[in-house]
Amino acid sequence: MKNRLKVLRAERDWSQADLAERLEVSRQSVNAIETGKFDPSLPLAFKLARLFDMRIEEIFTDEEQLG
Amino acid sequence: MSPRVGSPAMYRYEDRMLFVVVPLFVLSVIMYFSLSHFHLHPTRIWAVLFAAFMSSPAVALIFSIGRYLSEEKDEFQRSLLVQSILWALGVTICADFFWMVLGTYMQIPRMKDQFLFAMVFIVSFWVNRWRYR
Repeated sequence: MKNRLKVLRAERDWSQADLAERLEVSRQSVNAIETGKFDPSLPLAFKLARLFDMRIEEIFTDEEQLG
Repeated sequence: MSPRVGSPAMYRYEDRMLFVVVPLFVLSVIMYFSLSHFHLHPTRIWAVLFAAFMSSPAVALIFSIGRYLSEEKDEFQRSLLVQSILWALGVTICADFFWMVLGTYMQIPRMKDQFLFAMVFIVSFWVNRWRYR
């Protein structure tokens, strides 16, 4: 699953550690989600959506739907 | 904002490892080698107690991991730990099997399985964690 996390984070001038602190997860987790190595659960995806004030599908893209 | 290095659950897990599992493991290694060095052969209840003590680090480790998995709120860290354990178990079983088959056909030194393969487990466990540094 692709995501726009890195772009959204950069727009707010946040480091991975800053975002991790806001999400109450580790920096490793943010890095793994950004690089697509780990897909977050629904609760974490909703948390991200609330944090960026966006809908989940504006942050995450279903590759199968694109393909 | 200060960077978040590890979760509180991870710190508690590391404390448990440091103060319970590692000393137990070191003690059991010392005990094992002391008994074989002095050619002592405990019998009956002492043999049972010795065997129970030798397996205590593994029991403590399983308990410690179970506690960590139930306390950790970071889902990625949880899945990373489970993934690392599975990788480490796979590598350890492969190494064990490889050495056993090799020993059937070749003259190779016999290893103190439990200690050597504990090392194989630990190394492969950390290699997998390192991939997501």
